[in-house]
Amino acid sequence: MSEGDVVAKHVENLHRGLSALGRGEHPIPEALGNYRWTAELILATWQQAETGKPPTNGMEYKVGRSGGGFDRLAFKFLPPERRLPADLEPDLSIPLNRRPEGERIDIALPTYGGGMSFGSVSLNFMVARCMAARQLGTFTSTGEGGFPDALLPYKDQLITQIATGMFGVREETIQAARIVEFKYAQGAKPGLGGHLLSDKVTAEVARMRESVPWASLYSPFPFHSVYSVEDHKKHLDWVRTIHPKALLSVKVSTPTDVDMVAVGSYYAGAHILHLDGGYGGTGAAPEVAKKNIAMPIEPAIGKVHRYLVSEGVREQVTLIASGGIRTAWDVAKAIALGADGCVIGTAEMLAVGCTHCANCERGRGCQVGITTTDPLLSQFIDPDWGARRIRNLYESWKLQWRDILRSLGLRSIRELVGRRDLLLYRDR
Amino acid sequence: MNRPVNLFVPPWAACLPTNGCENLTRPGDLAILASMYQRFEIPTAPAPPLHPVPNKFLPVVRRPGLAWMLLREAFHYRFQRDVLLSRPCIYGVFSGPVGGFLPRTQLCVGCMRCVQEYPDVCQVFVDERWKALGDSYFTPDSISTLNYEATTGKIMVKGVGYKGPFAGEGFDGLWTDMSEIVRPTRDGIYGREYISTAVELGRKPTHVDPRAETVAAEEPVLELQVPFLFDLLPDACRGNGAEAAAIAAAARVRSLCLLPWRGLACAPIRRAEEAVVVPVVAACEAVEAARFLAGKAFPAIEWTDAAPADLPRLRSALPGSVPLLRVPLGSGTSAEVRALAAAGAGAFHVTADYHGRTADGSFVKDALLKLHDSLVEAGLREQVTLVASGGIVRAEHVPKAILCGADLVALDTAVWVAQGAALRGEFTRAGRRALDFPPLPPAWGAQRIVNFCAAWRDQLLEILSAMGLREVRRLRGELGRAMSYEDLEKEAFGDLERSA
Repeated sequence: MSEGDVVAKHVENLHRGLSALGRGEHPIPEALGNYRWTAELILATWQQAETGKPPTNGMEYKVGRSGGGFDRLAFKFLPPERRLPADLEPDLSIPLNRRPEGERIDIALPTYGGGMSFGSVSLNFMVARCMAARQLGTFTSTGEGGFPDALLPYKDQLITQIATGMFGVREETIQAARIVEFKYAQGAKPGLGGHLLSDKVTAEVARMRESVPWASLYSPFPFHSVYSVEDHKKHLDWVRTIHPKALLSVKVSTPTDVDMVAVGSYYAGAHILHLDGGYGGTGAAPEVAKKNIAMPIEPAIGKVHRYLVSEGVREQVTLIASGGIRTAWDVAKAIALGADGCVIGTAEMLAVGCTHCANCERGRGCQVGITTTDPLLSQFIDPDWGARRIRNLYESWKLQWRDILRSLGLRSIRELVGRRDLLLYRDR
Repeated sequence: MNRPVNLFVPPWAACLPTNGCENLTRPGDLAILASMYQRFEIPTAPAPPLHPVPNKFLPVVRRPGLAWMLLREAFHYRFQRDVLLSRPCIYGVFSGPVGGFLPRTQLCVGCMRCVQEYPDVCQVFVDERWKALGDSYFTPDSISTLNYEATTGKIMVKGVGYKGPFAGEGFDGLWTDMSEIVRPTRDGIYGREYISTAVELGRKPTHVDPRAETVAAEEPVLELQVPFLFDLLPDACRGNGAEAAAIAAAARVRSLCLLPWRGLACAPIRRAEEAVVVPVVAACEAVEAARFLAGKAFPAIEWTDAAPADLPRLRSALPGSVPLLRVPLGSGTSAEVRALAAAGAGAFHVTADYHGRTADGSFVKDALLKLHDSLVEAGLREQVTLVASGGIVRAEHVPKAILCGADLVALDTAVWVAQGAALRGEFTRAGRRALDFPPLPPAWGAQRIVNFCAAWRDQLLEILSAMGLREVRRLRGELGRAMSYEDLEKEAFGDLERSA
């Protein structure tokens, strides 16, 4: 059998199907979607990834039907005559370093890619994300599984992650990246370590993580070297010693005292505070953790933003939100609640055909080649094709952000930060 | 007359391997028991359902479309057999001898790849039989999860985040806390650190006498290794094997099982399992049943039509026991329980209906909070045990009920559904016609209960570890480590302009 022919057949079919379903040429599949990612949101994301524009066929692409959070927030737009002209292009860039010292890094759009590790996702998908990040002028993250050689050409676009399992963490990987992120917790499973189940731990993944093939990898929780904000500062100092020029990001989840954690991280020297809300995540996680542990991102953003303002340090730190941010509208609402920008994971997976079916943890993993280490399935994502679709999705989002900003009379996305007065809360 | 009871000798001693230590009842035995320290674990074994549980997903293939597609592909791929037979499903739905003409629907996981590749030929529906599982509270999703837990004894792990509503009523409007930097978090189920899920049942002493040779209570205090016990079974299961299964499972998870006292004489109880049975008797029958209840440390008393003035009579009829008073939750419960606790009652089982609704329409979560606060205010909370039941159908409901003030919970519908019971319509109260409970082999039923209890305990450990708690006892009433939807919504969005 020619494996290439088999792959070619399925890839051709998948591309054709994604296109037709996204355009609404077939009935919406009944079993597709859920409260957060509705079938229409999924199909609209596929369509945007193909066309680079928001859907025009009436498909809902702004909100889901979770009944809370972003799905109940709306903007108070100006009357049409007071909006900014359509030919004005509001600035979408945001700074990642707001401290007086260190490298100035601005990204061209208010998002960057979330951490998805080698092993949890295929190498082809990782490369596609890196290529898209380069084309868009933003960053993407390696996740906690190490820094495969195939990503080295894109090191200027990479955030490398240090997580509790220390998988793949070496001096050279830290020195290769411009931004180093400490993952203290993650929204997929707040309070728990990473889970990479045995079927996905191939020989190559095990080599990268310096572990045993086909043995499940449960990262410990928490960092057993950190039991206080002072310990946390030592952590950051350690990376600063290895790579003095790196920007430091601290990724935390959303406990009741998330505001105190954020301020502690600021004083420890973090440039970026990355809040990962309890409903998000792309990786395998116990269902009980996803739903019940830690608060969703929406209330956490305002809580942290207000506390940083009251401490007088908000202007010196970049606040990034993630965890269940699905659309351009969610991003804009998160910024209005107080974030500077957002981290996106799941939407990028949807751009290349994810159906949000949640079977990522299984043996061969993902049926369309995203969250898999299966050699055949991995070939379903051609990096060029994947990069094009991810870029298209963000091009569509850029159009929407600019439209939102013009309708609010703002010339820059930075002007939207913390503008709660521009938000409405919808009754049930 | 009160008698001192060693806190550390559980009645399951009779159910456990003895290892020559079966007579450890003297004060000095504590040292021997301490040297036998071992982690508590619940052994699991696969126990597939006796009758297939409907699968959520139902793939449907349009056969004429499939035939035409195969013909078209045959020419397109020049009759390359392997290419033609490579099917758009990695889960084996089309792996039968005739492929998509007779799909193996039970294998479908809803990945939708068949629809993505062939949207004009394949569709995936949500099976109507799956939608009909359970009721509006014990939803099909909850039943599928419970079935997985009862079959495997494992926690369900899935990818890509949470998929449900933002928040809901009752327990769905509560999130638990976690720690990451500023409070030490625990290792959880994969770590080296032991997190205790043990709780005590009984009236606890308010002080310890340092001169005493052993830690002793004036009344029996029983340590359970899990913060749940098994509530009364419905009439529908009488004689079908479920009773024997629940008793055996209670012994294996080191818990208790409530049974009506009148049926006990003919109940299938092995001698080694007698200690886990808690007889339930109506308050008005307690004196009549006293001889039968003699020696039972924790008889459960239905307190529906009784008054605090009846308590002394009951206590004198049941010397040496701590009656577990079963009180329905309602508007007057706090005052009633407080009065009974002040009069010396040591353990309460407060009940709501199977949907967690109390007599006054509130949810068990809110009623528990009120009751807990009331006992704290009266300075009685530390002395009494609160068992709560009603609406506990998912693993997370256990810690959430404890956060709201219960010491432990009593499980009802989850135990029965794990054993294959099917709800008929809205199941809020036990009734002969409300439940379809086919006969079952007790050993199989016991294993199913043990399995889901193990999975629930592991999930409790995950939640405790995320919060940095080393024992479930510390969780009780710890609302500072919980977040309610109402509070968060008010804090996060209360200042925003509202719109319709």
